[in-house]
Amino acid sequence: MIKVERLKKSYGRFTAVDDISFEARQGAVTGFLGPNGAGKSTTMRIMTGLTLADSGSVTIDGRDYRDIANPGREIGVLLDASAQHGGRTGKEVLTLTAITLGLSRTRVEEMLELVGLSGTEAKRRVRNYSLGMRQRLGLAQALMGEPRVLILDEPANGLDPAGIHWMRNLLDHFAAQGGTVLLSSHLLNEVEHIADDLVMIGNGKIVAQGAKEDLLNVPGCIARGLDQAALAAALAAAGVEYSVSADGLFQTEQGTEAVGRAAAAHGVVLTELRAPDGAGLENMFLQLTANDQRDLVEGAQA
Amino acid sequence: MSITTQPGSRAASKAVPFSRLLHVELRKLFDTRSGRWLIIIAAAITVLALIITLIVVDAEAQNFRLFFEVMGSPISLFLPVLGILTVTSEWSQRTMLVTFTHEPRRGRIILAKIAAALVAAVGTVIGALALAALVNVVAMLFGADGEWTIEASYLGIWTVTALSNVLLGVGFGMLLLNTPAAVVIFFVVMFVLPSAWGALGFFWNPGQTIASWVDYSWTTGSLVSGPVAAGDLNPMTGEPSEGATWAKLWAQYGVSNAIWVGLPLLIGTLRISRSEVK
Repeated sequence: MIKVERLKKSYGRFTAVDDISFEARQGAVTGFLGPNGAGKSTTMRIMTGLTLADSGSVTIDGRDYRDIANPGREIGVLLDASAQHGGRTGKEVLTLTAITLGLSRTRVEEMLELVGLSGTEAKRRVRNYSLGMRQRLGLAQALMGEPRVLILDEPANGLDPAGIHWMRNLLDHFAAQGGTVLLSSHLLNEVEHIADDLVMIGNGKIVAQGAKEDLLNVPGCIARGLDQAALAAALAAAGVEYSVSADGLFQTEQGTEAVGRAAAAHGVVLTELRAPDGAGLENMFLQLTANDQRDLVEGAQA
Repeated sequence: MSITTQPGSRAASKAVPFSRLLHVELRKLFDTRSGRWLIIIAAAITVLALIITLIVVDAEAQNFRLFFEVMGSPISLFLPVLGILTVTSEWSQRTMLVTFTHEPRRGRIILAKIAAALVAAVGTVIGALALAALVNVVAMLFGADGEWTIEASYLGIWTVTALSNVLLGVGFGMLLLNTPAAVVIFFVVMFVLPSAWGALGFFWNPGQTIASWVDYSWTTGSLVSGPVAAGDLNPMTGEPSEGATWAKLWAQYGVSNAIWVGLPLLIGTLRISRSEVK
């Protein structure tokens, strides 16, 4: 389990991480979601002892990363797939890791096979790798030491849809065996399919966190009637609060049953009655992070 | 596949032994294309210097010590660059993200890099001796004198300066964390500063005395040349010398090394230990 408590990190006047707390629980994949520059990478660097926090703490299974004797055997880390020496072969990168962690060389072959890098690819220099291949190599490196915890920064970046599907299976399996996975992404649809829990961050602050289902489950429903005025009267009589859009779409926080009963009681014909738009998490992500999305802000000003 | 992705369950892992860190750092010196080319080029220049010596120097003057001595210049350039690269290549390629997550105690990585550089320097000296012996045998076939004697003190000092040279590189690399900057500064210290001190000494006499304590290149050259009797010509300046004993030469060498090797290593260690790794 990864536990982040009241973590803070500033660079001069810029607050990169602003008093955040969350947990990535064991046996689950936790998606760490936020726009670029929201503070995800800074948080993960603090988590792995590369950056010092101003205040607050991160513990992994109860310990500070820097206090773990051989962290590579307990925590698999992939912070930047591009941070590899271009002049080394993929196989050599993993061999160095095997030596450091005290693993047999057969583990290198196993990991190459696991992430789908062929023998000829493994003998090529990393300089000639695509981003997707680097991600696979980085994942192999993170998994080398049979860790209990995985910390992955943007691991799906550069993977094709098949690659993302493959990674989802791999991480699901890892979590199902009792592992802890924290992975970050700035793309919602990547995380939506992989994560069990979500932590959303914007501008250095946590804006939402919880189980994916809970976050996806937007309450209320949407309704449309043949006679707009009659439906309004029926809802008012039943005590259902609502709002109406210009084109006559009723929106309420009550469920479909409450609206259906109100309409039936007053003989109002409904032409539409359903849960809110399914874009759910995407809308939420855009909404929650709208203030931090440079594109949107600039778009609004233009 | 089910075995390989299974989360590990060991209670507490043991620290990575220093020998494994050293092994990795030694391997990193040679497992990249740039590392290999550096060694190939250095070896080629060294061999070229030996061939020129074979052709140019009179056969009677050719001996084991001479061949060994000839290799001094190329090796004194190669070792500092190797020392620089062992540190800066990690920063330019950002591999320290991995290095420091596998061993968060950065001081141990620094020590492993220093140890790897020293091992490489000792290996270079041994290689140079072997090559000098080989060339000496070849020279004898062509009628050279082929004398085998080499003073233990000369060999010892040669080794000490090789170790200093590689540490100078490591120190500059750690101080600047940037390959081009470290290489340029190294060349300035090696070649520009000695001339600058010489020019200063020409106009201002105490300059020469100061240089004999703080100029890295000067003190190294003086130590390799050995003691000078008072009144004899100074091998560095060609002027009558006030004399230098072993004690004085070592003291001067120590002071200049404290400045150019010790200080960069110290500041670099502090820098790396405290800096944020991105």
